[in-house]
Amino acid sequence: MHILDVVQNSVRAEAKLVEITLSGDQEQDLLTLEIRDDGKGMDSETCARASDPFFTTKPGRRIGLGLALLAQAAREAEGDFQVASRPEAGTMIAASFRWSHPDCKPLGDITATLETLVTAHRGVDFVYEQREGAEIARFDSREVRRA
Amino acid sequence: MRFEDLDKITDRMRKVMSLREGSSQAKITVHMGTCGLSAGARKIMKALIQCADETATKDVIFSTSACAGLCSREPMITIELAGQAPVKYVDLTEEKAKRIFSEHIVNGKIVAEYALAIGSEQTL
Repeated sequence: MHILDVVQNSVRAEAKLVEITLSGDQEQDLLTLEIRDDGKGMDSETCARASDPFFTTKPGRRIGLGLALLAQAAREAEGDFQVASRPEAGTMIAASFRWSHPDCKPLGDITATLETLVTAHRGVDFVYEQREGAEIARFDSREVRRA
Repeated sequence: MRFEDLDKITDRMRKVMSLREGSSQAKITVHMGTCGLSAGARKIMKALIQCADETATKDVIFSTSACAGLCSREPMITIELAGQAPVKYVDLTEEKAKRIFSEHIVNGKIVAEYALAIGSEQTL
């Protein structure tokens, strides 16, 4: 589902908190992924080009595939993709997928994704919430650290 | 959707959090650009974390980096021991990563057959 790839952008944007929410709604046949960070954000021009595979803010590079692949995955599964950001106000990435679509990407190993993020990014806290109907599961690295 | 057992994850995270609070005699950077992730970088990271966990190694810090421009040689990691030149390892598998952890991180001996280059920017 490209979560790890997309969250690397938040880390590069100097986010201190990254919130990842995955929601499944069987009645509406809808799976949504939302990633919010409090990083340095983007201006409107950069934001408009964020999912262009031939655009990147990384110096010395000409392609940036992370968001482009997520956007493509959403389109292929008859979903939607949005990026909202303002300078110094963080970024929100939202992707939706028709859940039963044969091209809806697998979630992958969420445990390993969280393990990687928490281990490799010392100064960043991560909140992961997974919702399906009334069922909610949540991981918050701030709570683990305080315990 | 497979509902993750987040209580179990939280228990594992406590161990992981102690790893990330550790001091830094060694730094492992796993290259996690889109190319690295596609080639299996997350599995490499998982294998290395498992090694640190199993050997109770606390003086190692983990980090990630973006694409290094050698997409065809992914998965890649860079190992940096305090005071020594960093070493880049390429074309990794989980087994190779475990051997690198055991020989380079724990015993300080570079695994030359998996190394691409020695020496680049130092961060430790």
